[in-house]
Order: sequence, then structure tokens, then C-alpha cells
Amino acid sequence: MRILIVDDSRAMRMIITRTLRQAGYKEHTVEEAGDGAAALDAIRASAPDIVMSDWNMPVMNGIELLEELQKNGPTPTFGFLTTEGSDEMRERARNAGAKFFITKPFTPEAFQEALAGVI
Amino acid sequence: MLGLDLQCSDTPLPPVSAGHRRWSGHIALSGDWRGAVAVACLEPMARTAAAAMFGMELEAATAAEIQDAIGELANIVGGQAKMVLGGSCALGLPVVIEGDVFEATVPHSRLVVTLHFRCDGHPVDVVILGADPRGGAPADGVHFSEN
Repeated sequence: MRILIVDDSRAMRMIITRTLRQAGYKEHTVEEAGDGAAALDAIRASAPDIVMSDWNMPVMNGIELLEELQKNGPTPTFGFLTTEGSDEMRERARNAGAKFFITKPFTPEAFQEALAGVI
Repeated sequence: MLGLDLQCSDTPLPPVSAGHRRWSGHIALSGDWRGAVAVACLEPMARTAAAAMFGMELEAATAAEIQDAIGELANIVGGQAKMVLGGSCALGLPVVIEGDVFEATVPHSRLVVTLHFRCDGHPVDVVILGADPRGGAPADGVHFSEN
């Protein structure tokens, strides 16, 4: 599987990649994008299977990215990794089509729980 | 997530010492709670955070990598503060200030609380600011300075 990690922090993209490996998802190809607009280009160019996106980013945020994908495609499996884990945001994410929601800070176990049945 | 030891402390962040800059990540909260959260530390802690995040040696961390790490720490702490404060709020994007001589003001703010920690033995302060209900001039806001 090909996984696209979307986060404006390069440090966080590295942590997410490392945590994926620690959670046992070692055989998948990981790609990166630094904001929602770059992710949209990457998704339309190379169609990853899974998108793991931050919510709060410059240029285009995560929920705008998801809503654009739902509207105009393509529609890879999409989930959020974000510091903002309120019930309101989870509901908005679910309603927009997000399949998982992981709150930062996270652990490999949180990845396994959220990604079970997705990867 | 980073494997660093974090303990509460009674000791505030000391002033900068020779050769060590202060790093401070700020993130705004808007909505039901209006204010900001700041995470402040000195150079050794900033390097420790960057090294842990990027998986590198302390001395290998560049200024850009430290800036990224401190901004992300502010983002994470801001997100946690938002959960504790409750209501409907949104986080802004982090701003990072570094240096051994600087002054910054958060306009129309008041100090809510300053929390002291030690992370892997290094002092770290977390400052929570709220909107000043009295309004007032922007310059009346909370000041951060190092000189």
C-alpha cells in the first residue's frame, strides 16, 4: 500500500513515519506533502491508497482537503492525525468521510487501534 | 511519543546563559476561549526536542529543524490546552521566536497561568494567556522578553 502523510511540520512527518514502522506497518511505501494543496496535487498525480492528514495547516487545511476529495475525487481512505481532538471536530471529520482520527501525541498502539481494518 | 521524561517543577525557566538562546513557540486560540499558549525553553531543551523528533544527534539539529520542533510542540500543547479549556475553539498556526535578546507582546491578553516543567532535566515553561476582558491598548498585553 502507498500512504501519503500530510503535515506542515517535517518533524511531525518523520515522527508519523517512524511510528508507522513501530506499529508494524513496515512494508508500505510512505510519501509526504507539506499542506493540503500539495497533498491534493500528489493524490491526483499518484493516487495513494491511504491519506493520513493533519487538520491545521497553511494554504489548505485537512478538512478542506477531504471535502475537496469527496466532491471532485479521487477518494482514497482518509484519516486525521491532529492535536485537535474535540468531539465537534471528530464528528465533522466523520461526516466528511474520514475513516480514522488519531490525536497527537500518539503511540504505536494508537496507530494499531485506529488503523485496524484500514491498512 | 518522543520518549522524553517530563516532570512538574517549581522552578521557572531561567534567563539565557552565555551561548544559549531562548526558544519560544506560540499558538493562538480563537472561539469560545480566546488567547494563546506558549512553550518556552532554552537552547539545550530545544535541541533535545528536535533531536528526538528528527531522530538525530543533538548537535546535528539545524536552526530550521529546531524551529519546526518547537512550533510542533506549541501545536501539541495548544491542542491539549484546547481540550482542557473546553468549548468550541480553533488553533492558529504556530509562531516561533528565538534569540538571546528579544521582546514580544501578545496584544489584548492577560496571563492566566505559567506552568513549570523539567523535560529530560531541562526547564520548560508553558504559559497560557487569555483575552483581556478589559480590552485596552494592544501594548497592554502580556510581554515576553529576553535581554
